[in-house]
Amino acid sequence: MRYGMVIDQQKCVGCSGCVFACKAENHTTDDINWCDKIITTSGQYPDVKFEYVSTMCNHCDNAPCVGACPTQAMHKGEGGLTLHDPDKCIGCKACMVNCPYGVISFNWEKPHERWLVDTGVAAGSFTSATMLMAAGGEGSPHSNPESAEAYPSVRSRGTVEKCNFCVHRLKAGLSPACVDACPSRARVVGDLDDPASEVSQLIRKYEGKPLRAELGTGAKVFYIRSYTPERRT
Amino acid sequence: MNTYTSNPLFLVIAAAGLLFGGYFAIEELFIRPSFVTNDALVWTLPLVTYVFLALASTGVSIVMAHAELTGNEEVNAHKPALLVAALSLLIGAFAALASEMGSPLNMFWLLLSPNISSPIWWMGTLYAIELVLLGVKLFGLLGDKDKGYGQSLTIMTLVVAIAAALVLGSVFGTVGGREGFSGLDASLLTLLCALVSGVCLVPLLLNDKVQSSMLQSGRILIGALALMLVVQYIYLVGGAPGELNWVSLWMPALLICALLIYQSYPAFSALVAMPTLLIIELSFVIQGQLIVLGPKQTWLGVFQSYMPNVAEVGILVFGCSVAYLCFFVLCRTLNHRIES
Repeated sequence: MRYGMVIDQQKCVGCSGCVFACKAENHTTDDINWCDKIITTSGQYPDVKFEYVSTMCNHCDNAPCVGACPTQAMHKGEGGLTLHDPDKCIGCKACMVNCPYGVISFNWEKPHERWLVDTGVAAGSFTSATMLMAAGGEGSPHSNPESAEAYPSVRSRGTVEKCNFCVHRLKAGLSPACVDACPSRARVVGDLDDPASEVSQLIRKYEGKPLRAELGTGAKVFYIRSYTPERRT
Repeated sequence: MNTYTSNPLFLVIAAAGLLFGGYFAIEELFIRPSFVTNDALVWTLPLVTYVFLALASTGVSIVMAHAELTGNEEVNAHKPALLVAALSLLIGAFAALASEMGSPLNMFWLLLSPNISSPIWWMGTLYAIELVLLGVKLFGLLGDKDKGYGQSLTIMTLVVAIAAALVLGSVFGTVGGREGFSGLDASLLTLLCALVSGVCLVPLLLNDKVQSSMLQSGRILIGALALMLVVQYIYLVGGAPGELNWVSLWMPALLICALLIYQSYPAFSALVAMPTLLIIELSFVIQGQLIVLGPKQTWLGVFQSYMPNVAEVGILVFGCSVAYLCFFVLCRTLNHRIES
């Protein structure tokens, strides 16, 4: 079993729904996006091209971040996922330098400090962390207890973090939040080892390629087709 | 040993540096981030301070061990000072690194959860071993117990020091996704920087002009680094894909100046060479990160520029001050022990 993803560039409308779904599911801080985008504009008016490439951790088979991590904080998990153990992370940032995709982020400041504030913006509109704890809850009022089973709700300063393919959802038989949130169904997740899976079929049919394939990292997020408005029917 | 341990001005400067740099180290560790770092430019002057001091320590260790093994009496006569200098520089390096990693305790995870495929693990482990070896040698000197295992300890120190300098380069050289880092030349650069640091610092500790036994090797090493930089410049100025030209011609020019005055004015030679080495190491470490990768481009732009801020300079001052103060204390302890 090797989890992989296909992103159909022709279906992707660049709405950033995946980015926000990921943020809500994994409660990343303001500065950190596990699911993100590469936006490029090229050409000269009137022949200008705008390209939107949705991107996240590629869960590489030969993950450079795993090889570079001195403490095994970055490691390979079940289904070939590249996972991160924040308890082992020493903040050396070797994974960030070694990741050729620039998808690992660092908690420079103490994350989620606002979640600990006990005053709301408007009266009655805010559940403070104190109220949550008084009610027997954990983490922050904004946190998602389901994802907290796989990764701490409140991160530590001085550690890295990145996409984990919503491992808690995969374990429950669901798709990652970004996949479910995509309005144009541009994303498909599945087993790359199963030739009959939808991801395998799409990769075969459209000759899907990962980003920076020449590096041989064995990235498992594949892109198919390109944005061609005239073919969008 | 006397010049650099009895000058009150050096001590006052180092104490002031400890306070100045210590403030920023505490701020970075416990209060808020104060460095000019972001998700694309993660290794800056504080890490380079570690690289600079660790390579300087390595260089002194190599020169010292080489002199011991070849029976160079001119250098061996000052073995205690060289040993203390190598140890102090390494302690200063680790002090700077601790401020860069978020918590000094983080470094212990290297031992508790090792990943032997990681160059950083090897680098940390080798420098930790080097620290222990130098400590054992010092303990042997203090207790006059250096007789039985002295030579094997020296061989081990030499091997570990050379390996540590090479592995430090491989931390950058094995980064496949960044053309500016990737390649064997990174290890060659760090080894040469270490050796040049050694041949420039050691004469300062000998309280004399550069001895004839060191003169030739010192000149060859400084010249070799200058030559490597010129070759690198020619290669990069031609426009290697994905690489930025981080070498300026004044770098090898300054090294040549240091080479020319190496025999007559070793202190001035070191004064020229050591800051040049720091800038070479800084330029190398920074250039590999200036091209932003992936989605960070959307937020930070495709290219970045870098200029250290006061806090980062503070960590450089902090590391150097810790190294000097350790040198001062250890030299005093050794002197006191020898006198008694």
